Amino acid sequence: MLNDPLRSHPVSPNKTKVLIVEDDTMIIDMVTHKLTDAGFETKPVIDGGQAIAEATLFDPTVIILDLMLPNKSGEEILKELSEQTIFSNTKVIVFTNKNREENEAHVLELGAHEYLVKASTDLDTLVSHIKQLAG
Amino acid sequence: MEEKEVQMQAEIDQLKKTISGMELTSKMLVRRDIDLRRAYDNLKSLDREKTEFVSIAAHQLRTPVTTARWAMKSLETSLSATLDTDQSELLERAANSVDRIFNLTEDLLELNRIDFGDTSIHPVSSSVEKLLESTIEDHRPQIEKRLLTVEKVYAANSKAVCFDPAKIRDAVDNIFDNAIKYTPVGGEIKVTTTYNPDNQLQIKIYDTGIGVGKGLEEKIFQKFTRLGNAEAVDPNGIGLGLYVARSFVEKHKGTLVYTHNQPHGSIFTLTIPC
Repeated sequence: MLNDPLRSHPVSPNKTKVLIVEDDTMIIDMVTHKLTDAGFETKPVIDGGQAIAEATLFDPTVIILDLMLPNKSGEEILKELSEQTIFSNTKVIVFTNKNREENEAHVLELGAHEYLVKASTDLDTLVSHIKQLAG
Repeated sequence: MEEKEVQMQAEIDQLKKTISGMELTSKMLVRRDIDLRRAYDNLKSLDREKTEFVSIAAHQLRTPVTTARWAMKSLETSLSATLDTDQSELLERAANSVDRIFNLTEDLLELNRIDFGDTSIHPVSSSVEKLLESTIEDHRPQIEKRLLTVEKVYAANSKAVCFDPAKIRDAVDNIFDNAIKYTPVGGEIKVTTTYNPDNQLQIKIYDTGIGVGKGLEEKIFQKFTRLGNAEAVDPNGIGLGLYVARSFVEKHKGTLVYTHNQPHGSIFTLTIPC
């Protein structure tokens, strides 16, 4: 293991917080490792049903959101995020392996800020997108 | 008179028999038609199931292959300074193998989308020369490794054109990749753009490689086609690249054709409205 993917890293007031909503532990592991190295504070959530509660507690600047999740889909999570004013400044990157052509327009309409396909995105690119969105 | 009536009655009986035979034949034809329709529906359903199976299998492979690629890249970056030549070569070969599985998975997914009619294009105003430059730069390591010369002749009247950059990039990538693969070490590749007065943009990619045999110019665009001379150079392909490339170009109402280069090699001409 590169690190413990299911544990958030130490809280630091200066670090940009990134919530990783993803049910594949290998992906959580690698993304967490990369983002921690890049200076972000991360927290993983593997259960879609817990995503909103964890986002409320963690107050992330950016959420990396998979679409196919247990208990609640990424689309449902996006809808709930857009309905709550406390997330009005939170940026969401949909990070999925679902086909862009069939899904991108719909999730952008639901409030996502970016649509990245895992298979065609390397982790350096993911980091630069997060930095750009976090300002 | 009586004789005539008997003869007429015989003809009527014969006619009735013929009509009855025709009715029977007609019923048999209807039954055969129903059987053929059922068989056709069964085949269609089987074909759909096969396509869906390939799609599900490829989707399931996508995530583990993605993480394997990330891991390989991470290892290459973090270990490059500490590995000896043999270890580096081994790691590079492992990374290439993972890339091959990745490309195969993506090709199968693309093929499924094309076969299902799910491929749509999203044109934006863009520069085709920039796209070509980026393609060439991405292939720079292979170009240098094979000591190839790449000549670029871009049109003086070049302009922004409406096309789907991802799809045309894929099409150009496939052709350019083949040009590098099938051109012997030290060979030449030429890339040109032309904007014709009839509002047609033409991209031509020339190479001095193994070329395509006479009479096989169209066959190379059929799916799962691998010609013998290509298989001898690269036994790993599955023959989808040019099929996918042509499908993408045709989505732009364009054409992709092959002609022979002289004295040897290939010329691929991609034409789209501009």
